Amino acid sequence: MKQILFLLMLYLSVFADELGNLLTKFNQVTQLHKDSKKEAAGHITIYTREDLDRMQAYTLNDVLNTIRIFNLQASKGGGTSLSFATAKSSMVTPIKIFINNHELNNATFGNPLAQYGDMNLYFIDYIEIYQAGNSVTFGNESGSMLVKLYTKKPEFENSTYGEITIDSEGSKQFNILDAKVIDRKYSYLLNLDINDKKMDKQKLNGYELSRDYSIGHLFFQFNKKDDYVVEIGATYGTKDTFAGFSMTPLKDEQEGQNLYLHVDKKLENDITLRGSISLEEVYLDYLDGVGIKLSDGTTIEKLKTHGETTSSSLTVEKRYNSLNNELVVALKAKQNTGRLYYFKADDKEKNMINGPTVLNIYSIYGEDLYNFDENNLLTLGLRYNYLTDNYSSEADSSFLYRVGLVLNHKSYTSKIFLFNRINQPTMGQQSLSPIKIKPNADLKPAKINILSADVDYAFSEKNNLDVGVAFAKLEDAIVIDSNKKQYVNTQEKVSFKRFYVRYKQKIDLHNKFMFGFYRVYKAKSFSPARGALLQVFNKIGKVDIYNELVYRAEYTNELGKSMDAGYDYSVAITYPVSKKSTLKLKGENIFDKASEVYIYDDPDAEGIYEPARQQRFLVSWEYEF
Amino acid sequence: MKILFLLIFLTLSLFSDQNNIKAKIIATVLDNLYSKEQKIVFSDDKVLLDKLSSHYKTTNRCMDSNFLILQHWVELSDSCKKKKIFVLNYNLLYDIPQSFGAFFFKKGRANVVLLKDKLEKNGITPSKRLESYVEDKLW
Repeated sequence: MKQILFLLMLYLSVFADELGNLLTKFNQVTQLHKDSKKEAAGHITIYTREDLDRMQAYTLNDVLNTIRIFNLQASKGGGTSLSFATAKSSMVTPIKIFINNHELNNATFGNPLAQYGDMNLYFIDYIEIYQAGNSVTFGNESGSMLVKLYTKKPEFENSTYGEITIDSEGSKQFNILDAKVIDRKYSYLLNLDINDKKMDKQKLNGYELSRDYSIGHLFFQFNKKDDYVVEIGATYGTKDTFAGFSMTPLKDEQEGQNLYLHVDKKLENDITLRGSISLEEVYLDYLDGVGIKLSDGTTIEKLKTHGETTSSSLTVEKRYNSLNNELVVALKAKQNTGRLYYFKADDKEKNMINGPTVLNIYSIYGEDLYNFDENNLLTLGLRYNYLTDNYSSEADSSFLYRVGLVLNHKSYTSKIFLFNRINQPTMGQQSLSPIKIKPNADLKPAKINILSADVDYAFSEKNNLDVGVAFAKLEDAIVIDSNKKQYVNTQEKVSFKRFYVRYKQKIDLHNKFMFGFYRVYKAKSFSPARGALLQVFNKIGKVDIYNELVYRAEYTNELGKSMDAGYDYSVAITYPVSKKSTLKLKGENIFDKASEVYIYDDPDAEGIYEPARQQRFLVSWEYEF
Repeated sequence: MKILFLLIFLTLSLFSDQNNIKAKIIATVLDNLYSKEQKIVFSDDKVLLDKLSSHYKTTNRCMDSNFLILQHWVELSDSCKKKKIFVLNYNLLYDIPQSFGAFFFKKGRANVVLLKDKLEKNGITPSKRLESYVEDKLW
């Protein structure tokens, strides 16, 4: 019997499963995302290490460009922003970005992509994106979408490797990563990347608008097994301001730095302590050819400013696990502080702050997963936030709830969530918005109630169809009043519906494709309401070939301008030259047909058309030391 | 015929999850290593040992074996130190310098490496199918 089994295995190993295929299969079943993903936390999209490698996703923007129901677009300031499909391009939808267990803050403008959209993903192992149904355990304030970046694990790396990338625009990028386990108990991960990015410049009436930037980023993690994790991140760089202040810049020197320190400490009795401190600092020296209008109505030519935002938080989390229940309860305190060291308009100091500059948020929250049998669960999450600031005499509070049902069957998983969301006004909207748009200290938070459902049906082990719908009602949305030139809460209640379909087909161990389509239905639409994505992963011999097509429908913007449909087609080819080195070629937005936004200062004057990702061809060489 | 189908089914289902794939990787490596004596395998990974027991002679005592497959660092007895050692962790290749090969994660990927000089010292000849996994030194 043993001999028959042995011969059979030998036969299988010779003809079906050579060692290389087995190693690939092992990689796929041991991918790290399987440990962290929370099916009950929302509608989830996962980009595995293998996906990110084959996609050659250099930056977070390369990933977010493929996300359904959102449009990645060029922002006026030269970076990128994500807007909900149909929303005005100027209305940045609040998303939250986490590295491991900690949020990356952007307390001033509520758009973490401004700092982290171009962050290199070299040290990231996999990404989870939760859309709608976000668990109340993810941070104090709620976001429309949650992006969780998980760093590489030293015990799976055991190496030092680096990469050099150049592109057709003259950009240069350098990354190096070192990750090791020391003495079985300790481990570290060190990542350094330097990116000198060049982009095609826009020219308007003889003025040059540039999105170029040079940025250096350091990430260091030190870990003691089953005890504590310390993470330090630092970013320093200079960035051209594009059309952020006006369309007529003569000098736009912008310098910024971010620092953060995250600490996780496991205590006895399933208690975890999390602390975080972060700092965002910006210096600006700007000279305008025509004059820029400040929010107080004056027009100036020279602007020099130095601002800073700090954010600190402390969380104590306790887990209770019983036969049927998984309960998490937590207390969290967070403080955001904004400061303008100076604001010099035409060399004269001005006070441009009119609103709160210190915001304290105290939260208590809990979430229970009740497994009523081994496949099905009910989840209930509650959060109470108590908010105080240094401007208003009265404290504010908010209450968040989320109820969900997750049913697992042999061939399908279905999820339904009912929840509310509160979008707190940013410090920029309330106090620190010196250019053109007046801040409003009396802004109320926007409130959204959402019902979302999703069914993921597996036809077989190789293919599945995922269909999702959602209905939402929004009140007190924060918009810009074009007459008052000020942030206000809109009086009208807005509702929308949306659906998506995603089909995945695995052909074999190395070949697969995915097609997805979505549509949002809303009375007024100012950005693409429909979109689609096709991703094809192939392997021919040793060469990995990845094809991606991102479609965004035509639309009419808030000025009544008709905008063409966008087709962002990208190809990535990866060739392992040897065990130690890999050559990579990539074309992004190859036909230069990606969806664009119209960026303007004055509705009656000329503006510019700009895609989030410009046409670009990259060559990269990776080497393991 | 029924038995053959049953065998195929059992074999395929045996290798359907992580532990099974790991066992199949180790079995594929061992199948393709030739040495003079019959292989008697010991491992401190009991799940792996159990799975390998269906087509290798296995033992629960290190000293009764001639092939050791180790996942954790242990202070080996003098007699065990002389056995042929294959490790399941990158750092163990350094911790147990006499080990001739390893199955480990590096740069986020599963790898198998067989060290040429250690194979020779242990009197092991790899088959042609393992040629691409034989290295002069660890990278």
